[in-house]
Parts: sequence; C-alpha cells; structure tokens
Amino acid sequence: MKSALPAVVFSALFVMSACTGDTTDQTSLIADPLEPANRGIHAFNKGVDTVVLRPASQVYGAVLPEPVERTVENFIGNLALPGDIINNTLQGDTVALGDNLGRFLMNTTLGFGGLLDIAGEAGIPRHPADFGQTLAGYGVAEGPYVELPIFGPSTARDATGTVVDFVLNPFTWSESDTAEEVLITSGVVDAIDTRDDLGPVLDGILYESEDSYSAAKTAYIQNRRAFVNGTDSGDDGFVDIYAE
Amino acid sequence: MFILKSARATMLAAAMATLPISAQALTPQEATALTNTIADEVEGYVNSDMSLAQKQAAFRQTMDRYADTSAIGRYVLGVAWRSATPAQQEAFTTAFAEYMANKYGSQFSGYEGGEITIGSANDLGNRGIVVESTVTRPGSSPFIVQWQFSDRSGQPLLIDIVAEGVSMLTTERSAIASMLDRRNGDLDALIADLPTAG
Repeated sequence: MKSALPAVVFSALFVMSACTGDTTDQTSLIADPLEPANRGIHAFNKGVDTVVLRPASQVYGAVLPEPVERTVENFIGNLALPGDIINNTLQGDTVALGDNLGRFLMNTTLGFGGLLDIAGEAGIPRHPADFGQTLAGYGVAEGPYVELPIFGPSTARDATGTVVDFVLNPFTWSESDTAEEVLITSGVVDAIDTRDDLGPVLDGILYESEDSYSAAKTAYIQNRRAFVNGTDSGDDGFVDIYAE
Repeated sequence: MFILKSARATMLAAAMATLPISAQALTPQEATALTNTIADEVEGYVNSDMSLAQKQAAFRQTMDRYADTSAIGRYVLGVAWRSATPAQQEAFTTAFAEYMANKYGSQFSGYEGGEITIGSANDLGNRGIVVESTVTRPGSSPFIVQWQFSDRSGQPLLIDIVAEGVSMLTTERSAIASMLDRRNGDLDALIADLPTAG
C-alpha cells in the first residue's frame, strides 16, 4: 500500500472520534449523527451482500468439505496473528501475547505455514486483538456510529483501528507480489467464510428485519462492546426489567 | 408433651433464623437446572426432522412455559406500554410472543447438529442470575450464550438470552421502537403486523 489514503482516513476518523466523545443519549445505544450517509452506505452494502457475498458464501459452504474449510480458516487465522500480536503488546496483555506468539511459531513451522492448527490441538487458544480495542484501552471513546463501505458496521474509533491495523500489518508492507496476492485473496476468502459462519444470524438481520440498518447497528454495537470489554467480565449488558 | 412441643417450636424458630432472609430466592443451582431443561428442549426440536412451522410452535411453547413473556413485552415496548390500554398490552404480549417464535424459530436451521454446554452461574442481585453456556456446531467457531433468570415475578423465569454480547431484550426493544416509529406510533397497527413481521 503506497498511497496516502490510509493516513488521510486515519486523521479524519481520529478527529471525528476525538471531537464527538460521549454524545450517546439514553434512548439509543450509540450516537448516530451520520445516519443519512450511513443508511446510504448500508443500502450499498446490503446490495453487495445480496448479489455477491451471500450467494458466494452459500456456494462456499455447500462445496467445501468441512476439513478443507477448517484448513482455510487455519491459514487465514495464522495470517492474522502478527496483527493480533502487535495489539497484544500494545495492550500489555502478556497472557494473550504468549499464546498468540506460541501459536504463530508452532503453526507456521509444524503446521505447514498455518494450514494445520497444531497449537489449538495442544490447547493454546487464539486471542484476537485489534487496534480499535487497543484505543479503547487507552481511554479513547467509541465516537459515533459509522457504517463503512464493504467493511460494514463500525464506530469512529473502530474504523480508525481498522485503518491502523492495515498499516501495522507486516504483510501490507511486503515487497513481494506473492505476499500481496495472498493477503488480498485471504481477505476475500475470509469475508466469504465469515459470511458462511454467520449465515442465519446475518440473514435475520439483513433480510428478516423491517429496518435492517437499525438491526445491524444494534447487533454490532452490543457484540463489539462485549468483545472490547471482555465477554466474561462484562455483566453490563444485563438489565433489571422489573425496575421500569 | 407441652415441653416437647415448645422445644420443637424453638428449634424450628432457631433453624428459620439462620436461613437467609430471602429464603425462597432463586439459587444459581436452580437457574442452571432450568437452563439445562430449556436447552434440552430446544436442542431436541432443532435437531429433529420437524417442519419449520412445528419448530416455531414448539419454541413458542417453550417460551410460554419458561420465560416471563409479559415482563419482556412490557420492557420491549418501553414508554408506549405505559400509555397502552390493558387490552392493548395483552394483545401486544401475544403478538410479540408470536413474532419472537417466528423470527428466532426460522433461524434454527443454521444450528442443526449444535450442542449447548452449560457453564457457571453468576448472581447479579436485583438483575437475577446469569447462566453461562457455550454453543458448538460443526464447522463453526463456538459462541457464548448467557441466560438471565429472575424470580421477581414470584416464579423463577427466563428474562433474557444474550449471544456473544447481543441481548435479545436490547435488540428487540430497539427493533420494536423502530417499527412503532415507522407506523407513526400507532400501537394497534404494530400489534396487527407483528405476528408476520420479521
């Protein structure tokens, strides 16, 4: 990636997330001052899903036997580890860092470049980490809701994180054409694989909700907050329904 | 005889005094047992060869039996519940139960071969007890589902299901608010549309 685009997007989003801070009101989950633009992008994304992603994921799910699918997931998961490791380091999460480093070393060597998940079988779990989460750890507020083209639901902070993760990824800067091709192909396959994995859930959100924009936003924000705050520690999501 | 009786009464009183004040409060063990029962029922028809309509009907029965559908309906409708007539409230609760069964029942096909493993239970005080579970299905990464129970209605009942941080209550409160908005706040129109709405 040699263009200046990421830097521009980064600074724009960063300014946005820094300015808006906590404007979330009581009735909605997250501030959404860009709603008209977001809805336009949502309509585009939904079109891409209807025409390309959903059909592709259905073929993918039907054609690939489960062991092959798992091998593909192993390979893509291994490629994502350097990015995870950088963020584990920035977050000072030594347990996750140790596991992810161990996974990367074992699976890249003994696992034939990440095709086999030897580490997973040995009981070393993967700890996904991203720069949006790192920013949250540094106290950066989530900022307003943003729906990104192709990438989908995000927040000002997490969109910034997505750009930084792209820049931080060692594969992005590789001079080798093969590495670049592998990176792009794995990104596309990852999207199809994830769509296949989330099949019924995403179908429910996109095609069975009366307002798919609002359904996607509600689901994303809750899921994202649980990930950023840690699923097991967070009991914030639970309400006292008898209090009203 | 009299002495014996009074000694018994004293013992009983002493025993009662040592019990916690909310002697009938729902325990984590009971909540875990309830989760097991519900999970077994749902697993049973998800992995059966029943038709979609039959699965939706079975799910509706499970919800009616184990969930506090009226408290959920009240929370989900929010402010509009308070200005609704009792007849509207009742009609909304029924329509909402049907909507839930159809909406979530139609997603069951994606979970065939799935298994629910029950984990620990946490007491959240006034908010009730939350039971952790993990759902695994072939070819997909496992995900965490949390079951929130409360006995504030007088009976231990399910009040929320949270999958990977996504709460059914929060999701539906927002979806219902958006649907009511689109009908310019006309609750009767919403009630009429709900059973067939996504």
